[in-house]
Amino acid sequence: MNGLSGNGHEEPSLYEKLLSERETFNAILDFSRRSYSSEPVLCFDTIQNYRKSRRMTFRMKIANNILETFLSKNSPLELNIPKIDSLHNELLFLIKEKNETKIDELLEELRVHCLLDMNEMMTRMNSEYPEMFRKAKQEIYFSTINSAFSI
Amino acid sequence: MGNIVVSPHDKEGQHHMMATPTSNNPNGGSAATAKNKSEITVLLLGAGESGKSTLFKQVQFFHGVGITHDQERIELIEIVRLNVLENAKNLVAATQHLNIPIEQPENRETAKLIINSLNTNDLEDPSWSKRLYSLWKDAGIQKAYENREKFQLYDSTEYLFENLDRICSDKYVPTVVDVIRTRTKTIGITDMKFDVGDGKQLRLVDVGGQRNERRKWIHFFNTVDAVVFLTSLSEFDLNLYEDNGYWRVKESLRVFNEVVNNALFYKVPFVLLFNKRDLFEKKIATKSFSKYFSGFNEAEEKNPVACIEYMTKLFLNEITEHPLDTVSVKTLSAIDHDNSKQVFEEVKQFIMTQQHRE
Repeated sequence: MNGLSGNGHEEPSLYEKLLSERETFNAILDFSRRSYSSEPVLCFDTIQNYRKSRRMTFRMKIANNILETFLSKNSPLELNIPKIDSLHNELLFLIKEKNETKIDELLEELRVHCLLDMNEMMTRMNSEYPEMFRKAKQEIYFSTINSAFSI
Repeated sequence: MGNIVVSPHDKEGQHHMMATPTSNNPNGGSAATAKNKSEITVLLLGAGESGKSTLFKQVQFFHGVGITHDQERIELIEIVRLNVLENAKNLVAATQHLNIPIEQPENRETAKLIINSLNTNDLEDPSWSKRLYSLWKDAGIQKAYENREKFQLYDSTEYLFENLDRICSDKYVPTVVDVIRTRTKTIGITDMKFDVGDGKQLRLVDVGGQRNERRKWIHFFNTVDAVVFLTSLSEFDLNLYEDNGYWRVKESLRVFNEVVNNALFYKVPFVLLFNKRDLFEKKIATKSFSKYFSGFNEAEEKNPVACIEYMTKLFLNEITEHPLDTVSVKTLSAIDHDNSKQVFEEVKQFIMTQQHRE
């Protein structure tokens, strides 16, 4: 993981890179399922879909899906997060108001929370699949060097 | 105690992820046949932040797994630094929430940076060691720290701030103690196995403790041979991480009641570990214990033994179904390596003795 601040401001991280590629994402999801810790992985992926979507109706649908799947008490994929009821109500209100800016902000905080909640699982996975992590680190390193030269 | 057993997925004895258990005996029959089993499954249970994973890490360390190796600990640099930032951020936020001014202007500047832009990469720069330490020593931050029961803060805060000169360095490699004292919320379930003699292996299972994590515990209830339930002695003045209006002791008692009286555990040895004794003793020196327990004699509130006896009674009173002769109660300071080793050895012996009795 690179440069997490724990408060919503982070540079592109190792975890994000691993989660952005289909093959490594599937490996992470499989690993997390085997250890009963897939909620933050699936929620992170859904938020990424929200971020990529352009059409407002589709974005609202995804936001609703996040609300019901990850931020509802006793839902099978409930996130491990403090004050889940008030978060649920806040997002519900914003969806009703169609306040995209505020939804974006809230989901960005949730995305960082998911990354942080993957810490322990990713550390274990790194122990078992060091090559996967090493390769991703190397790619981040080379891409940083390339960007520096292109400037 | 023998060697670590390497599972098919393991490499060099690293702990492995757990597959879904294959046993499907709905009556907890595993306990009844445990004497003949080659594998003894021990579940570490308890509410959030009771110290399950700290004990798990200590047991890994006794067995030369994971964090014993420099390379494993290097991978945890980010997590240690993230703990520093989260603690700093929570303290700064607490000064605002509690209306306590940060006194020194340069510390106020540091606080702004912490809230707005500081990230773990920045902590490679040794100048941050001085800035963060100066913030930590600020009278305003210290006053907030004295009131830490009013907000969420990791137990390791003081330790991390006192070790900033090592942590904020580009050559930093976390020590075993750093890793033991770093808080990482456990999501899901992890396990490790090791030989315990007589051709038997002990499989130790660590789980997440917050409310939404507990429904995952049931996946292992059928295969369990012993339960080690941890509760934090030092949480008597704290509320839950997942529900800030709910008293941790009440939650811990509720979870203990549900687990110890579960029909699947009637026949399994049960250990109740009162953890964080070190923090507890420090805490009762300055905070009132009796304020939180109306039935406790105020005159005894600075006496840790009396307080622990009271807590023990409180927990044992919750036991309505489980036979008391298969319950053992101990205290622990899981951050203390020697104490963890000794207590875990006693726990293991208790479990093995109970297994032989059957």
